[in-house]
Amino acid sequence: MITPSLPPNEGQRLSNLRDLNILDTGAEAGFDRLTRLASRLFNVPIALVSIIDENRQWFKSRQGLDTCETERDISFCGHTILGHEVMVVNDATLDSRFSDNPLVTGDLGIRFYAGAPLIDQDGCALGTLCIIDKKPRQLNKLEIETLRDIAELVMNEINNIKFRHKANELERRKKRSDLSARLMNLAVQSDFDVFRSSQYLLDQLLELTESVHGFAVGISLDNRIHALATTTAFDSSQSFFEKLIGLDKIVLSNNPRAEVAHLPDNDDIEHFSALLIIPILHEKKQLGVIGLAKSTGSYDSSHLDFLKPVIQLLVQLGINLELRLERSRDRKILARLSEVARQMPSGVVITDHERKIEWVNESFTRTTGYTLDEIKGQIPSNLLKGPETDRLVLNQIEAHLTRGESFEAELMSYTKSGSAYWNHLLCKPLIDANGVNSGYLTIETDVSEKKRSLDLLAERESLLRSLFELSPVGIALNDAKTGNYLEVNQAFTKSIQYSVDELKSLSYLDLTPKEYEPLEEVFLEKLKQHGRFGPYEKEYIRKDGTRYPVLLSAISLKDHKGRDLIWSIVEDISERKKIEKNQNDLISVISHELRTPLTSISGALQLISNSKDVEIPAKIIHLLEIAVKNTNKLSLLVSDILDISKLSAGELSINLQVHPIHHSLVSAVELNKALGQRKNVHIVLDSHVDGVEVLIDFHRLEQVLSNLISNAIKFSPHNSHINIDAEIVADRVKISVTDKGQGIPKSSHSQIFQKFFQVDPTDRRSTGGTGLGLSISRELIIRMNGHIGFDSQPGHGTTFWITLPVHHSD
Amino acid sequence: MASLSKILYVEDDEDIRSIATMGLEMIGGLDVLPCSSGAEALLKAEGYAPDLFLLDVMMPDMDGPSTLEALRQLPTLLSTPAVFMTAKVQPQEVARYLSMGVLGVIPKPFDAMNLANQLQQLWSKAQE
Repeated sequence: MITPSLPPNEGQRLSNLRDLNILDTGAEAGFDRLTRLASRLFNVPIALVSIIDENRQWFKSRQGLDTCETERDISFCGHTILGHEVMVVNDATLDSRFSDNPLVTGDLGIRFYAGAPLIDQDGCALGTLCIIDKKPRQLNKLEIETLRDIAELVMNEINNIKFRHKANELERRKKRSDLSARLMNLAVQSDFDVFRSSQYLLDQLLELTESVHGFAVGISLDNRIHALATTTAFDSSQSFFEKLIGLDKIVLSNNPRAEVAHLPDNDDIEHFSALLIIPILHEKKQLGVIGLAKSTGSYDSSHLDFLKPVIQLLVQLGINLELRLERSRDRKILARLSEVARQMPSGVVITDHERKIEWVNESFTRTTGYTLDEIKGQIPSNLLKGPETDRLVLNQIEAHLTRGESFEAELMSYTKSGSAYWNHLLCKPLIDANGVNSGYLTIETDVSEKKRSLDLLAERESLLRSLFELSPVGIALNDAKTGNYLEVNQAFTKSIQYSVDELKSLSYLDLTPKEYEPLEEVFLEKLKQHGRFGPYEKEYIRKDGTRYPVLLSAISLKDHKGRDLIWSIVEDISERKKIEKNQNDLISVISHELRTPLTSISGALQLISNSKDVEIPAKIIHLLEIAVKNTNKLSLLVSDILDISKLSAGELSINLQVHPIHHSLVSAVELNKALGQRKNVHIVLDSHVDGVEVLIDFHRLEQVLSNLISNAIKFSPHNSHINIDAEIVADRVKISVTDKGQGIPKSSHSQIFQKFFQVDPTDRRSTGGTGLGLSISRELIIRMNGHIGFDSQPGHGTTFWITLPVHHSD
Repeated sequence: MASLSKILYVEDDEDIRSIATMGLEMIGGLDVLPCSSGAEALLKAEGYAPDLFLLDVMMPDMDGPSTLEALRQLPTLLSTPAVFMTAKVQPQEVARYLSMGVLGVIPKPFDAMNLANQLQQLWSKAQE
């Protein structure tokens, strides 16, 4: 047997054969028709369209034969293709080329073969159309022609395949360019919907590349993978997609299971015959990934060629999309900023680097009266300055701007209509991305109101402070709990001799003499109850140890933290006290000076009247009586004067200290003993208040008691007695002075304590007095926190009583 | 009980001195040695040996209280009772006089008719 040699153009022949894509394809009606025709026409059992591949012969169409391919080496057709003529083998057993060919000697038993080569346009024999019989046979010239004709027809069929391929190719190309055009259209549309378009795109790509599976994923700015479109095989492949982040090369594999390392465990994916993954890159940035997969078939460079322009388009789409998103994002941000700037209650001014106005907001216009159009391009400081604008501040602002510094300033500015307002400026230079000054942002706020309020407040504060500081009367602020001094004024420090700082570590108790302590307790109580106390007299101890009298008034208050404080007015009354003393001394002197001559006159007259030496005529006695009466009147006048001054004196201070009440009673009784004796009126003291103490002004209480007692005596009949009872009732000392006089008529009851009131003003001689005593007494008693009253029935005598709180020294 | 009969009376005012003396002598039947000053009183007091001092308070040079103090220095007179007479009847002053151990204080203007009686009463009271 002789194996067929290779035709001279074997390389080209094989190449053309490959391009034909005819090998291993299915049976086609056209070819079968022709083999059938050949078989019938030549009355042979076997007719074949045989294609000679590199190492085999493969039958595109066969009649009467089961196998679809045999080895090339033992093929008859391998010889046929060596020439352009029909090759006939009448009896294979007699042909040295084929006599020991297995096809001849074996079961097939080929004896007769006739094959016409199939020659393509390049002169390459692709294969044959051949007829085969198991008995020897001869072909005449006509039959050989016929065979050749049929071979031509087969060639036509083969060419049809080519044309069909071409047509498909063209169609594919058309589809691709249609797709490109459509995608381009989509790219420029403003409502480009990435998701919908992705699905469409994927479907197109699947079809065009004859893929069954695929995916399209996008990568967002934050480096996250978003599946835009997938086929079912890739529906839940998020983890697979994530492995694609960073992919910068195309992955083409026709044996993915072996080659592609990062396929996750997924049954479907396992069965891919080919996998194509294409990253969409733009300037090193990964925008997305397209993936295509086949379950049968493969990918090659032609697919890539087609996909390249599509990918470019996708890149462009991606960029456009991103740009659009960015622009929309930027637009949104800008819109918000503009809104904010527009609506800010403060004025916003944006100037360029030459300080010319670029933009102002509504508030600025509202405040200044200038609209943007009116003042665009002007310099704000020139615009807003006016007669009272502080040039110094302007210069400072200028300096800041020149140095490109932020600053804050307050400047008198003027509106369009010329009215002035206080303008608070906050200015910042704007630096662009390259570090260059691109303008200024100024926020202007009208602070006139605020300034006015602050100025007013400062004025007020200053006024009050000057009142505090310059007050001729001492003022002190103390912590109610500790008594410590928090604030004092000059008048106080001057009197007390301690400095402000020294006082801050002292309490008012430190400066108060011990004997005033009970009074301080009362003062604090009253302060708590009524929120105020005073005025009352006490003494303070100066730094040098000397004392001085003060008149104190106090009010309680709380500070903003709720701390209890006391404001006190501390009036240094040393001068006043001196004057009082002088007055009292004067009164003493006057009373002595006045009374002395009166005594003489009165005495002399009386002695004359009573003279036993001489007989005095009645007329003279009468004259003497007149003289005496008038002397008495004068005496009463002096008493009046004294009482009036007593009253004024009574309006002066009260000096409360603790005394045993008994002492006051005893001394008051003593004072009036003589008066009682004159009328033979006894004073009976019944005191049940031994050891009881009261907080009183001793000498004033004595005055009161004396007044009551002398009244009682005055109104008592001769040779009677008055009772003074002292007892404790409900924690108060009650002192009652009872006389057996006429009593006070009901009509006079309401006027008893009024100044100058006397029940019977005509009856002065026997009663004496000026009617001032009770009003004085009442005032004094009230000042000592006591009460005064009386009980009287005409014809049954009168009882005057006073009550005073018992003082408990604990 | 000893009776009151001799009064040493010290008063700087002439008129008052006359009237008081007359009142005590004429109405009270008492014996009176009037002196115009504390000094005069000191000279005459021991010789006179009075039962009672009646002293005006407000006097130049030596006032009532000082006179009393001086008189009490005299050995025979140191326990002689005394009474002050004064227009200064302000309570603290009265208290002061009483604290000097006098029998009483008679206020001015005094009642010339009653003066002797007042002294008698104070004298009797002291005797008890």
